Amino acid sequence: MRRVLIIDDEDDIREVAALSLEATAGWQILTASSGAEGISVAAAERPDAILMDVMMPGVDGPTTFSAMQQNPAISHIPVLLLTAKVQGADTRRFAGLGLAGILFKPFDPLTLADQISQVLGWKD
Amino acid sequence: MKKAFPGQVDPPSDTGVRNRQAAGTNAMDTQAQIDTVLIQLWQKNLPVLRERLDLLDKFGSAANSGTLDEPTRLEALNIAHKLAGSLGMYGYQQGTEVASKMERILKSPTSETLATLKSLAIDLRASLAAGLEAT
Repeated sequence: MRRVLIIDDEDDIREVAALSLEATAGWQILTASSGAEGISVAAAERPDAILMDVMMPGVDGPTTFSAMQQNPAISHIPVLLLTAKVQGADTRRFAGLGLAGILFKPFDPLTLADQISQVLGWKD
Repeated sequence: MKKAFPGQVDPPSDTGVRNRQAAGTNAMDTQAQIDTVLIQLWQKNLPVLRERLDLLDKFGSAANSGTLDEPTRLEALNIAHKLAGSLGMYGYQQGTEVASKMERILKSPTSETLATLKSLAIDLRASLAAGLEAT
């Protein structure tokens, strides 16, 4: 069973995304409400992928991703950023970071798992 | 639209509890389950939403009077960003579009665009009227 960690400071986004991925794909979902907590959960649980918000109070998504890349225990885990769509420049600045992909809010709860699978090349 | 990022997946044109159509019984069950949670979360988050709309109204007035300082602009930007990312999930696609417009203005403000913030805050509240009046 796939295990995915969702990192987002917004409670409702975490809850809907978690339910969506559990109900539509049967994945096991872990959650964290900050970048620091996300790094801690990722190191302890070693999920198959991480779905992370960009704009979070304190440490933002890209900075959290950079910190993850410095940790050999979790640097191999594919990370997808989840962000409200504003301008192309916002996504272009993520292009060189080494992310697995970027998804946009608002997401459709019925197709979120398909979008993640598509980006990561997951067939099951 | 040209993709700026190889793994970029664009959002669906219609999202949210009111617009989705599922195929098959299992998908319908899943949709019903998700819709139930969305309705519960909407109710739970209404106080926070109302507070955010009130703040955007206030920030719009400050922008009109030329008293929108930098910390307030950043707070307004954060609120607009959060709303842009979540309202469509509940079926309020127009709310997401108005909030996105506010976010773009607050990100690169000019005196001309800042003057429209107040009316956009009013538009945003109007786009959510059905959900705000439901309780």
